[in-house]
Amino acid sequence: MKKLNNTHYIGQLLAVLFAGVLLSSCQDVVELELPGDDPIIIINGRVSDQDGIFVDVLASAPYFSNEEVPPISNATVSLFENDVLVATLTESDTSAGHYTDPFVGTEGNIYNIVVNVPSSSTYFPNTSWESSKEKMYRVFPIDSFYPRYLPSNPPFQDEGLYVFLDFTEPSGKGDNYRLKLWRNDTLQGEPQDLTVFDDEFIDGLNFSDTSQFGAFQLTGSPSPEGWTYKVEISSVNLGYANYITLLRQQTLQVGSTFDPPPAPIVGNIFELGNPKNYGLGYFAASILSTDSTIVVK
Amino acid sequence: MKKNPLLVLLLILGFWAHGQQVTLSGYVKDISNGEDLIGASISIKGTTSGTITNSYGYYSLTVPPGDYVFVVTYIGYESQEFEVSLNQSQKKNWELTESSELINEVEVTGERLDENIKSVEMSTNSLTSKQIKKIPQLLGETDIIRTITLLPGITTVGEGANGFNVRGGNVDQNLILLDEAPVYNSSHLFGFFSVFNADAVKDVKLYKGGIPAEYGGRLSSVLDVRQREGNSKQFKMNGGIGLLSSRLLLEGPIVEDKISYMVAGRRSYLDIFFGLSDDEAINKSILYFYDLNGKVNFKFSERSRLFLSGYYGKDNFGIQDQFDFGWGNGTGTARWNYLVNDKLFLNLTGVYSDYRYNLGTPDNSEATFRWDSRVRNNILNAQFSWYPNSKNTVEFGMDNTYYVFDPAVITGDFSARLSSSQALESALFISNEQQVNDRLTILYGLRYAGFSRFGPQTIRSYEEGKLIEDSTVVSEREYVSGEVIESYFDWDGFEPRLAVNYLINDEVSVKVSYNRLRQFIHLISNTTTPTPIDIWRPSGPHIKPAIANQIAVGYFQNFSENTYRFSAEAYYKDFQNLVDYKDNADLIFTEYIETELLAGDGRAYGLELMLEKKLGALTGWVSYTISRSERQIDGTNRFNTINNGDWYSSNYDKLHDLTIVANYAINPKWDVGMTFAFQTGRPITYPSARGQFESITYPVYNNRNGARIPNYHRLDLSATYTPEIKPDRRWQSSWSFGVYNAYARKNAYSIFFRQNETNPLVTEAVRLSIFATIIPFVTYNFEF
Repeated sequence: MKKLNNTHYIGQLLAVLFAGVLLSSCQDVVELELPGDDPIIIINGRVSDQDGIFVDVLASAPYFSNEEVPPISNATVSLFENDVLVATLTESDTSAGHYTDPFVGTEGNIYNIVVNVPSSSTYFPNTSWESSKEKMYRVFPIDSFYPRYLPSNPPFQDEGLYVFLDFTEPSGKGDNYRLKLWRNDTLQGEPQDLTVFDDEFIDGLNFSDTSQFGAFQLTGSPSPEGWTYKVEISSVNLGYANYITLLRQQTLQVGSTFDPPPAPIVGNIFELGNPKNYGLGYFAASILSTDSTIVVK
Repeated sequence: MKKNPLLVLLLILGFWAHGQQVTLSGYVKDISNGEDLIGASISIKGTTSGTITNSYGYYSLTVPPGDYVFVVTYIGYESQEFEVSLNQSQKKNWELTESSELINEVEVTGERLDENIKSVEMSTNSLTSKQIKKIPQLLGETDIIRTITLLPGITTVGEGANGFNVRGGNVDQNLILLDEAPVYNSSHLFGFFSVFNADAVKDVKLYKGGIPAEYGGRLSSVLDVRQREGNSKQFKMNGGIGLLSSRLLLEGPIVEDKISYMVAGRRSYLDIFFGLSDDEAINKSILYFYDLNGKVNFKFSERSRLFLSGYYGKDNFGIQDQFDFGWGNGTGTARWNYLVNDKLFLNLTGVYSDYRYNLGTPDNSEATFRWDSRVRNNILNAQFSWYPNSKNTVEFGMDNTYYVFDPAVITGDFSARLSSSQALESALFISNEQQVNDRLTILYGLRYAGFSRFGPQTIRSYEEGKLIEDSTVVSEREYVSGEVIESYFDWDGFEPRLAVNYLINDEVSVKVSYNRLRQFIHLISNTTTPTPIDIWRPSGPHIKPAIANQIAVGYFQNFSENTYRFSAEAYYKDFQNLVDYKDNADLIFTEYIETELLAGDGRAYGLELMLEKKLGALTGWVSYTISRSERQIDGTNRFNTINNGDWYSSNYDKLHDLTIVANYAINPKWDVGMTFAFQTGRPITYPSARGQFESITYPVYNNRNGARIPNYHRLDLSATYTPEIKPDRRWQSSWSFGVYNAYARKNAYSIFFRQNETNPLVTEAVRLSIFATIIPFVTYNFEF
């Protein structure tokens, strides 16, 4: 028994030694001085068919500033529907740089915004910016959104309650969607939560318990009873889907030898009349489909 | 006037006597094992006339009839002389003996050591297996690719990088040949080890420039690796047991001096120790490679020989029964040498090469998924070597490669595939190395290469002048099997080659070379280092062949009777139609890959200095390279432009590269070695600012490769103990010890940027180091 134990112990050491040798790579935080650059305007926003329009107008900050990026106040933000001005947004009293309007969009129409920065602004004074035109595409309705018990299936899943989605994707390829999930009223907004998908492989398919492909599972680990979930499926343009994919890639796929190269995360914001001068961020137009559930056995 | 028959006969005889030449020809071999010696020098004593053996050890020297003393020399072997009255053509095979006065396997007289001065070759490095084994290596594993990265002009993007970069070229611009079979992935274990088993290798030759006309298809280099033929005299075995892998080679005659064989294998076994761990993440994982080299040679007659060789290697990597993936090369080569006559040597080669990778779930998984990808080559080449006289050596022939690309076949619960592509690459070449006079030798040649791509395949047309993307598709056309989709047999196919050597004296020469090359297949990879699962794609309607022109000048001088060899080479290369990638290119499972690609230009220039010491107890070299490698993508708008159309550093642009390699023979039993390497940090793109989207803070990049990671430097040390060799004892062994990264330098492979895990508002720079500690090794080598 003692000899077996010694052999086992030596084996353990060897395993750790060799694994350690081969995997002696390490990551450590280092101090760096980065060359500075002029700030770039950031414009993020969305018009939908349900909750109105919002636009955030911001300026980029030095990478190691460790603060929120500065907002740009007193800008004029205009919304156009099929090239017709339909709304001029109002800046929030409580959140600088955040502009809203209750206007709701309609499927099939085309939307874009123009942002005029006043001469009094610290950042980009006396400049005008626009978004590309975004069509408001269709979205599928959610048939059902619910928790369900799954048994243990090691190593893939533990037993417990998971959250599922039933829907039928409309026929006709070319649809793109974004999925957002709230857990206990908090948006799951980390880079790994950014989810966009298209219908290339699911065009016209039904996802439910009784269908060939089953229901669409939204959570990867069990949720305790009492937790609440809200899901939002929004229709998006291909450009927005690419933007989210790039944002996810550039924030998540870092730290290995096989990463794609760094790339500017450019959306659909440009200087008015000078499209070569781009801003950051994206203005989207979406139809929404939402539902909520609470986790119960 | 009446003709005098006798006078006519005398005149005819006179002309005939003046024009008559005789030829001395044959093979140069190692007397102990019958191996052909490549590049051995056969010269006429006291003159500059001579020749060298070709890749099969054959030589032919044509001279006027007379009395001669021929001398043959080869590095590491005792030279031989042959005095003869040569009045008719004669066969002379030489069998050389390794020098009994060897110090570090280097021949004492050094006559062969002036080949760097006298040969017209420049931008070339040759290594024998014995030389490579002396250099301290990672974990004691002799590695040919790692060794050549210690030479000037050759770098990698970092430790563990797949492939290597030559004079500012990408990894897919290197033509890597193993017994004339192309190798598509030269690395095992993600770049830590090469696919070449040094025990099975006889000779390695690397061309960085001045590439001869018989080679083509890649822009930056040719790495020509030749396997041993196998000992035709007696059975031999040698091998080694190391920390990471073990190897064994068997060779011997089947019929002495007629049929011989060589078989060699390697297998890593780190994963065997994984099973001893309690940690499921380790004990259920697999990580290993193995490879097998084999060769059988038939000597049918003095004129005719047949060589059959093969290679098979595989890497397997899997995590916890969840997924696995593997990749590997398989090659088979048949070569037939035929002496048409004393002056004309034919080599006919047929090759089948298959590079494949796969990834997916294990077979017993509930959900099955498998992705397979392959590149297959069928090759038929013919090369003649013609030796009309002692001043000229003519090479001519043709190459044909038929490609089949299968970029992706998906099976399992879900199935799909990308279209296969077929193509044919053909070339004709001719070159002559001419010794104009005692001082001047010129190698001039021409290669003509063309390429055709065939159906079946669906090809898109896009709007003229617009971006190539899904929204600008005008039409699609179905090409049937065998139908030509695109052909590149045009004026751009001419590839001139030129090399000139001017001897200032016996110890000094200056050289100039020029070559133009085209490349028709491209490795599609937008990661810093190619992954084993990157795919190769052929040129076609939307991906043009890449072109490179390179000019180089060099100064070569030897000192102290060739004890020291110095070279200084400056080069300039320009590239056209290089493949680069759009920002956010999606290269995975993309049918119409042209929508993700950009084409641009490149340039590379530099100065390479090297000082070698070849003789004495202390041997080695110091090399220093100062160079730049840049790219330019200047399109019509920001989507097909990078860095506003300005020149930017390529991923492997390293301004300074210094290497010191030294080996010291303390006594016949002990020798020690060291390697020191210093390189400027490679370019990297740093964020110029931070942006925000919802609650995510992200880096803002707008200056590709505008900064550099910290400089790289590393010291390796080794010692080899060889017990006294007893002639009557067949079993011989040695021990190698050493450390890699002796002062535990945390060399940055890359720097990346992320949000702090606990406070997302805080951003940080993180250094990734591959080997962040001292790595010791010990290897036991044996020979029987």
